Amino acid sequence: MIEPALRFAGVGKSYGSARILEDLDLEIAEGEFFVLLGPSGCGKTTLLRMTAGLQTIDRGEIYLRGAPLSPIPPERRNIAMVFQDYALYPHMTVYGNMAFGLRRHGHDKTETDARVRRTAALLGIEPLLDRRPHQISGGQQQRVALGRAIARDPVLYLMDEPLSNLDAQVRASVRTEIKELQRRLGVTTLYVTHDQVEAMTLGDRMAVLNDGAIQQAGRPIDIYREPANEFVARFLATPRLNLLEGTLEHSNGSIVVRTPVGAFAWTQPPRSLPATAKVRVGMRPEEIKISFDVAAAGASLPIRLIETLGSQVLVFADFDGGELTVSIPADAMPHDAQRIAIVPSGSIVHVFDHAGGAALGHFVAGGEG
Amino acid sequence: MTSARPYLYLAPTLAVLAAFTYFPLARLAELSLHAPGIGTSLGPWIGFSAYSTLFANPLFWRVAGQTLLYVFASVPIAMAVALALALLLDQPLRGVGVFRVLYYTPVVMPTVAVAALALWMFNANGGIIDYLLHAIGIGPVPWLVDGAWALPTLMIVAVWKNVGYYMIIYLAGLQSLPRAVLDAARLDGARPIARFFTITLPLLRPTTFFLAVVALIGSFQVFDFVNLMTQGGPSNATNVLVYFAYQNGFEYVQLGMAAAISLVMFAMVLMILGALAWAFNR
Repeated sequence: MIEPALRFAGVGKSYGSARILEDLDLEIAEGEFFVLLGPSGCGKTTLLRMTAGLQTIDRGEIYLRGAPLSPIPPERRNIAMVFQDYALYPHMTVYGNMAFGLRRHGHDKTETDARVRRTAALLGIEPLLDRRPHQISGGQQQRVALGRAIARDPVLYLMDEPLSNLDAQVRASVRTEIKELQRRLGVTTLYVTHDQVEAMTLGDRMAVLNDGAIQQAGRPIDIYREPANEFVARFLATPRLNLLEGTLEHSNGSIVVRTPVGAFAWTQPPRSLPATAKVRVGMRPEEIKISFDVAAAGASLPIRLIETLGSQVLVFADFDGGELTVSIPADAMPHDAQRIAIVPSGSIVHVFDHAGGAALGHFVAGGEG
Repeated sequence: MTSARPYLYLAPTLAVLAAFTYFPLARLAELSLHAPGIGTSLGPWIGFSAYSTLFANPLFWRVAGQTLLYVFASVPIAMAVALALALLLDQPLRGVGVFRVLYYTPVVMPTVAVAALALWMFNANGGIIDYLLHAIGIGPVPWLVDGAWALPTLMIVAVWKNVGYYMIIYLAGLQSLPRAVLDAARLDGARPIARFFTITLPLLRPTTFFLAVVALIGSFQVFDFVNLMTQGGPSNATNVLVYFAYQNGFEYVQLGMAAAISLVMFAMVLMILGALAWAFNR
């Protein structure tokens, strides 16, 4: 078995009696871009800081290339971290910021200079080398922070929400840049964010955290397609997941999932479905098929509000007991629409256990049963 | 008239400063240029003769030298000790609040009480300091009775009294340092001592500058401990500029001379602060 670059073995953390990280296990492969995704307070930053050595590990152990990390102080871990607020040394120039770690790690002047200049060229920040952090923009500061990490050529990058202090446009471009850089350099990266778009676009794999526990880990697209539970489904939905009360009706081998907005045929349900009839049904706005041909459909929902996002349109429709959000391409939206009809066939349905929220199955609905 | 408004708001402060600082300063200058008069009236104009008399007096040079020695020895020592204490008390220790209070206690003690305490502790006849030093085989030290020891003794007392105040300011400075920057330095491989000299100390620069200014001005004006403990003695060994001005003004009733000494000292403080500001803003 190949030793993973980074391995969390039963790693846990408590503050007093409050367990902020359940004992968790996770393996990250060499060269992998791994994203920890979760809401604030879920423990993802704690996990990152424990890996860096800035916080102690209460239970379990973290292994970097097979070696336990807890006996090694952060100064000697050969890990570089990019901080949310950049944490540049304000009294040093950009050059000084990038050279600092190199000099501390015993590189001589010539080697340090060569590495700083090579990294600056890679990031396109050569003209800034003599500036101080407060003399350059936020995007440039973030690039310097990345440069400081890259110049050191560590075995692991830790990134703590590095994009969250940037405005939207800069964020998107730096995001692409980070992905490209990581591909090129091939250095194992652990990246923390609360932004699902960052997680989806950046991660080779990711783990969704909540309440100090891993909810699901895997490839982003797999997690998106088959969320393990209601929380993961909710967290990976924009603008929000439609959650409906539903019932399961078994009829000759297939199942019909009845909801207040329609009935969805589950043609190949798993054998192991529990006998309970009551379930919760999750549908993402972009996974619901609708029609404006209300006359042809049996039932329809009145449109309450329409939000135009550009290429997409969000339609908010009322049903008995709630509101349904549907996302459709803007050119599919007739401007005089008053009502929508749900088209079950082709809609994607996630079925969750009514009590625990664990996923019971995911399916593309067939024709109405 | 919006452009006049800010000046309008500044006016009250300027008026108070003018009445209680600039006007007295001008009167002081005027006083130093006139012979002594009766009451508050001025005597005849004597030009700069008070200054030439002052500069010809070897005692003035000795007093000025002792003042500078006092300032430039006690201020750096007090600040260094304060910073060391602040670094210790910035640690997450159990009961750290108690220690902060303990180190701050001398600051809130009345100067008279501190002086009385110091006189007792440094007493040549069985003072507790000599007693303790004797236990480890040192002394007795002629603290306040020997010309060579008296000024250093005053410095020790002043450092002891002021260090808590500087410590609190440094502690506030330390606690407002960006933690992430220090974390970044750790991950960059900087060990504690390197971290202190490359990150902490440079980032504390504004605090250090503020403290240096406050401490320099404060210790230039040392008077209380001299007046309460030594009266400038033995044989002027602890005489400093403010005490010298006080002697001239109120013991020898040479108000013009006292004014001249005050203004010379004022000029010295201004020059030193100018040099300090230049050094820190380079």
